[in-house]
Amino acid sequence: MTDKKTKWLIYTVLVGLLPGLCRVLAWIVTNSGIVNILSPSDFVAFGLVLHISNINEVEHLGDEERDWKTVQNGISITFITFYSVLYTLTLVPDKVVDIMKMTYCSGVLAIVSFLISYSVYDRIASIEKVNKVQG
Amino acid sequence: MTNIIIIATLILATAGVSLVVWSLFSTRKKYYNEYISRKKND
Repeated sequence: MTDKKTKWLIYTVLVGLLPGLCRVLAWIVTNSGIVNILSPSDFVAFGLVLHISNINEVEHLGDEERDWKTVQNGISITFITFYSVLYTLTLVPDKVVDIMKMTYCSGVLAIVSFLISYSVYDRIASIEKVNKVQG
Repeated sequence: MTNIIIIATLILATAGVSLVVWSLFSTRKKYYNEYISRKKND
């Protein structure tokens, strides 16, 4: 794995997973039924971290990747908007939305966000590799 | 409300996965072509 992807895995993915890891830790040390092991807000936090990181990385690329940058920025902004809606819905009472289904939806989106972020860093790592070869 | 969220999730997930496939494919294609042209120049 290239240096860029390793840094992404440690600095971005691991940091994004921290709220979820803290929840798992809290779930382990408390009696059953007090803390849920999965929560939509943790998935939302993970997705937000990945997409904000994507936007930041894509912004630093050169002009030759203009179309790709536009598509990536567009999808990241769309995901951030939807994550904001999901997060808002976690704050409303259980009678309005099914919290279990919300958890599944946010989990699926978090996996998709991870794949999108991988594709962004794969491109950036490839660009860096080519730049190194060309000197 | 929940149904709207599920439908929106499915649409976004499909768009996201399509983007991933397109992005990975175009990255491989672009850098493979660059590699071939570099090899020819060498």
